[in-house]
Amino acid sequence: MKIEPKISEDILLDEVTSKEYEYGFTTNIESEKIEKGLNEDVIKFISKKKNEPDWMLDFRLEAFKVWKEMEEPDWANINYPKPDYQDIVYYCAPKQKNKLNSLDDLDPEMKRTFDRLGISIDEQKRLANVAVDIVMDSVSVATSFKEKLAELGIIFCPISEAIQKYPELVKKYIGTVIPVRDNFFSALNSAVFSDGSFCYIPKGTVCPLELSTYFRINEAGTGQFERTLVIAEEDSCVSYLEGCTAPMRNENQLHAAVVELVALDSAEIKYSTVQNWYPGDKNGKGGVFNFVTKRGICHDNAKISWTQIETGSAVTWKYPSCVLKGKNSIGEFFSVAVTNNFQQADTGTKMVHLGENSKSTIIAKGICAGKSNGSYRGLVKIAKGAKNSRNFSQCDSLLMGDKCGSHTFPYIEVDNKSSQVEHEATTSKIGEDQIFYCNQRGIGTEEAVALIVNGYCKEVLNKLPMEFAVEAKKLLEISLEGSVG
Amino acid sequence: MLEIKNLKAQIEDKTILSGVNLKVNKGEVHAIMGPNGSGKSTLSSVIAGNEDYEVSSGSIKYEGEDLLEMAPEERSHRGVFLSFQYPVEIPGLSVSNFIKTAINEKRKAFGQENISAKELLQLFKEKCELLNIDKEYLSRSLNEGFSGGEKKRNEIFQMAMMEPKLSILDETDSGLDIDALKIVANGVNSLKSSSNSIILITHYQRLLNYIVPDFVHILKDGKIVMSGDKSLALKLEKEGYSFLN
Amino acid sequence: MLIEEIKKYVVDADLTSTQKKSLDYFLENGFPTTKDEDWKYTSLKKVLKRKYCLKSSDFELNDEMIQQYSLGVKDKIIFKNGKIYSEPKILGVSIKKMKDLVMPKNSALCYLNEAICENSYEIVFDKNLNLDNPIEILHFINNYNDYFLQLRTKITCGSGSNVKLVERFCNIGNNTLINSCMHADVKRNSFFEISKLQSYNDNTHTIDNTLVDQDRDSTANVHTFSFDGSFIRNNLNFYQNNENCTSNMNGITIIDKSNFVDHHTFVDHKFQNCLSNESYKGVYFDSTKGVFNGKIMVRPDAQKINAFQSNNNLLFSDNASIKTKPQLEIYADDVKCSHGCTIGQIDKKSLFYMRSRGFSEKTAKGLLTFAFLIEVIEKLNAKEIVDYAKTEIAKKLSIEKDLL
Repeated sequence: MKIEPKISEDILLDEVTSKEYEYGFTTNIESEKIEKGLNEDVIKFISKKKNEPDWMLDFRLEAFKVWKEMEEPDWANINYPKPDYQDIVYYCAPKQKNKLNSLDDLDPEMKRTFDRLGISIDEQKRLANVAVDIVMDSVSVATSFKEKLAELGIIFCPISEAIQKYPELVKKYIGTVIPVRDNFFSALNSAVFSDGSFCYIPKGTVCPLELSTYFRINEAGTGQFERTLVIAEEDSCVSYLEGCTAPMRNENQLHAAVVELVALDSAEIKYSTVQNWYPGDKNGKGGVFNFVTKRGICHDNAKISWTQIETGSAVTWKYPSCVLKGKNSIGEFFSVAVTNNFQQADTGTKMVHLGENSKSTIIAKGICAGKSNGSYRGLVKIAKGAKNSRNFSQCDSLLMGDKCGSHTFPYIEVDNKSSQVEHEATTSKIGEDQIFYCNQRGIGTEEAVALIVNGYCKEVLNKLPMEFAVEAKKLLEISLEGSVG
Repeated sequence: MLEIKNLKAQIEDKTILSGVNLKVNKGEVHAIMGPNGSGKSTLSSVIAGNEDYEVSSGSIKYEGEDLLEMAPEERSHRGVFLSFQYPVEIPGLSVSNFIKTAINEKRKAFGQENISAKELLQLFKEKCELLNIDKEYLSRSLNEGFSGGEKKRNEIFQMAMMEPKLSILDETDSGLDIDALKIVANGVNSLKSSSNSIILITHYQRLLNYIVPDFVHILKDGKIVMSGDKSLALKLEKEGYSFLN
Repeated sequence: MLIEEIKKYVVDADLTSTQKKSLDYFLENGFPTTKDEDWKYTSLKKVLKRKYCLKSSDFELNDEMIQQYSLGVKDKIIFKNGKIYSEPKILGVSIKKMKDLVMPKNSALCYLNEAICENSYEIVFDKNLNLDNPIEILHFINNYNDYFLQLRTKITCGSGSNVKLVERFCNIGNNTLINSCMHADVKRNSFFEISKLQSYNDNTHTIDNTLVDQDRDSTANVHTFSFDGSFIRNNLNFYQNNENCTSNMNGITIIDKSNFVDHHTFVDHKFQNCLSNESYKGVYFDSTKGVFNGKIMVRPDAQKINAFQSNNNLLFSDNASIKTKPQLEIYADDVKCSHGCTIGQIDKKSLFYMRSRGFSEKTAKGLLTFAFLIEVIEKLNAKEIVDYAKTEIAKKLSIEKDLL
């Protein structure tokens, strides 16, 4: 006779998996999309649709040429059916009757969508001090607070608009942090990206608002390829947030974004992501394939800080990185990656130290449940010239259930004698003694797991701006509800 | 309040308790003493519902109901509190958040509203003073990096916050210096009332100078072999466990 | 080019069908290149450029030479260009030459070794044999031409046995590339320990493949000391094939000039209630390069595994470099696994403290470096080995051995 019957893990697992993805609805708005498939004509069509200058079209066509010669990478610890790149719609835009003059003109159906997503584009965000750009399928549909930001010389707009209005800026920086041929997905994105956000902070300016982009895939069979470019001039400072959701669909959807950050001398960029793409159902059907290239370059005394909470996507392939080019530059990466059911995540960062006295910190927390697999993959490279550089990395994995897998692949390369690198990694399960301790204080197992997981992730959650931290915490709890017996 | 009858328990086929009988009434303080390995901590674990121990026979009635049928958290909701011999660490979870959650879970179980922030702060303030605890400690991670003494004091602090009916203090005195022991004992004494009961599990008589028991039991080889009043503890201190033989 | 030599060589060699199969496998895959993940930082290109001969020749070996090179332990197994020369007379220890010795393989190099090794041996330690002192395995190498030498040894530790070995090499000839395969079959409840003392001369290049299979309740310790050699690649694999196995691996690398050392270790936890402990320390002077890749795998259902790994490195020159990749692959949940890795320098405060107590900078640095290494040295049992390690380390740190 047992003192108390153990809560069956299976029952609990069922409970988690029956937890519906909250953002899995679709929106009924008419959209304009082209035929499936990818060729030069499609690229020309996208470019024309966006009324792009020739140099942009040339950039795309060159990228397409490069992409055709590249092979889809398979070194990551993920297994997925390779998408048929000719079976994807590369341009899809919600139909809008006229150009929007203000957000009030937004299609009511679309507005309802955003309300359901918890994005209010009006007063609430004003109070919360957040300016939002919303990208639905491939097109930026709404940007708020433009005028207020413009007063300070801050540009925050869809990248398609920036290409028209600020071609010199875009031309100067696009593809400089992540070259077209950097990898298969960045090349693809460079060829077909249709929109994304552009942000420019002038010299000496501290952006008074949190800038935020909300990405949404809506239309079936479409890929989303957004492109984000953030430029922080000397002595400027900006905090940028990114959120993403998608409808529940049985087929896999492809998302291949490119995010480039440029932090000039003494500038600071904080980039936070709460990624909640549809992860597929409990049998591993459907879900977003998320192949994202994110990289920032830090000039002298500049700082780039990546924070990510990854709970969604069927497959995640993502390594937000910093090139610490300048002396005294700082790179940070704080990550929580949760996988459940059949999700797979291969994520981490690269810190490439080129400048003297550069510093980087990596805190990566992985949580694996169900039959999922989570991998941390990272590179810390200290070049010969990066004298007196420092890195500290900590990668922890927490396992729930005996059907999941957790992996750590840190690459560390040091080429000078004055630098210091420290790397620590642990893998463990939630302690039964921890849960019992909570139980004894009257806290049920579910709640105990949530408390322990939140505690485990605290270092990372603390890095998020307030309004995102609450959302992220909730998301973690939902993603893992009932994963431990 | 608590009635244990012929309780037998084992861990991984090894019998630890071989027929314990104990009755604790409202308002009483019982001390359970015994040499290492006599089953003292097993008894407290079984009362709290630790799944590592298997009860092979016997019963535990708590307020007339079958305690063994209840989940650990349910036992807690009903007022059973265990001060752990080795409190666990939960990195990143603050003491205040932990206690707040514990209180609210209990309230939820009885269909009550969550505790208000004002009420909670008042309670924190009061109990911190009682146990001479710096309020700063409320924001520290639960037990992480706490010294042995701090951990024990934290247990009694939780006890004070949760106002249990039956408290089991498992070796709460071990590892405490005399000043800390006095603080803890004062705290416990001020929480004592005619409506709650305390079981002290200890190896040493020292604690009993400060928290005076109504009854002293000696546990040996998984059985209570002798019971008496507080003089038994003094005899034990003087003569050692060998006099049992 | 070497591939051509190999093809030529096998024409006359009398290969068994197994060997032929292994050869085909090797020819199909070739030597590893930097495109292989496991050889990402280690290029064989330069090493393979020489014109090596594959046939061995005989040479004179006398007691004086043996005396000179031996560590000083009583019992020795001596090989001459891979061929047995003398063996100890210990009851329960037997050495057999094998024609067709099939062993587990972890790379194309092992297949090549299986295909063309001239002299393969199985060393059997009988059930319940208890060796008080280590046996020294001493390899003497001397060939007329540049030489590609294959060594192939299977070590069988009978159940309940207690076996300690120390392995050393002495190349008195020309440029030599050694491809050594050792397979230890560690049976139930036995204890196996080998210390590999790698002090090769400058014209020796080594690829050492050591695979350890462990049965229930066994313990296997492999200590690898890399002091000298222009190119050293160690592949060390442990396979825990039953419950309650313990695997310990320790390493000290302390190298100078433009030497290169690469440690690749792999522990395969396949059953529950097992333990692995790994500690590798590296000290790099001049233009040396170090590579460390430690992989710990915990298979599904291998619960209650404790696996610990650490790799700590000191870089003493801006021309030295280290690439390290500790790696965990975990498929069970009730486990405790950790790895830690540091790359840095001697603590400046400690250095200052010692100098303010009157130590010269050289002595202070030397002692602090030795303190950094001591944790590994303390794991050694045999006095002779500790003594040897200290001598080599003192030499590298340019301090008196008596200080250590």
